[in-house]
Amino acid sequence: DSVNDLQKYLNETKSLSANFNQTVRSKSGKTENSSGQFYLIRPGKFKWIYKQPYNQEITSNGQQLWLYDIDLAQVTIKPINKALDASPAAILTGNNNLAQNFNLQSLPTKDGANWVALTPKSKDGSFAQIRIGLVNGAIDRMELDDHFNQTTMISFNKVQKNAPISAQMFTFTPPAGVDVIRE
Amino acid sequence: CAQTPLAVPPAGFAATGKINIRQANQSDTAQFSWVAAKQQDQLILSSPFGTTLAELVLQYQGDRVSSAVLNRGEQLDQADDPEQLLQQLTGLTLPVSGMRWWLRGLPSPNEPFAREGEVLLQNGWRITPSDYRNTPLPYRIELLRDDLKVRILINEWNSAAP
Repeated sequence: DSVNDLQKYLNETKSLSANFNQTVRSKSGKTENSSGQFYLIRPGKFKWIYKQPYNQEITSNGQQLWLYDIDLAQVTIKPINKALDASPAAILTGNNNLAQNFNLQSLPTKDGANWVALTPKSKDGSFAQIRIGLVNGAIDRMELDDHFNQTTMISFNKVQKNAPISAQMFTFTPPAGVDVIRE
Repeated sequence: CAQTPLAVPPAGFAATGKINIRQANQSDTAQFSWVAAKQQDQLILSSPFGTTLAELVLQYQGDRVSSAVLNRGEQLDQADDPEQLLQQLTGLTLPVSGMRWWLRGLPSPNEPFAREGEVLLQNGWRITPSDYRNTPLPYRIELLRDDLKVRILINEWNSAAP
């Protein structure tokens, strides 16, 4: 079933990169679009780049996180645990034991994908539920519901699995002239 | 020159963008949407992943905030002092009571103010609107007070808000 497919996919994925399109639909129906790309090496290393309107580059080497905000010309360095609870990056690069942090449930096929529902076990995360859509056993899209019945939908394309990615990708060197804040 | 502060345009206004609050080595950045109607403002703070972090609704009597309600998903909290409510429950220090004017580079009508060129001084804050892009509204507003620096970058102004 989908839960096993997801687990299998994550277990056999050492590295992943893709482009993504993100749409946030608020309860008022207003939508906000963004796009970007990400690179990751499991566990723990990722670079998640948002283009307009967020213009942020989030890099993690597994120990610390660099949040580079291009509009603000500012880099905030945070310890990894404090930063990202159940964000898309944390799920894709997390340890393989999703069952530890989420209740997993296979959902019926919909819109051409087999879905897995991940309901966080801890109440104080920012998401009420996350759904991952698999196509041919591979992660194709994600939906994240927050506590304000607003949904973030992310679809992936140009996905490359287990292609070599240099570890340099996951340490960030702040550009000259940028404010650096260490938390 | 004591301009008369512009009241909220009858149709209200809305602004979306990014807000950064920095104090010592603490820095918080969020996406925001501010919708101002005649007697009510709604501020939504969210993360780049799209998750809503908090929703603050301010009710006005005349030009003064009469009550504020903060919604953090499962919990609704109400208070008269919106700054205190926001600070206590989210840790964010933000001068929201003056925002419906300061966002537009204008002084709030409730308190005395002074001007130093482009800079507006009110309520202990130095408010610097800039980046007008040949329009009547700024796309960048910086608020300074003691060791607190708030930077607001506007993505979009929309005057025909509900």
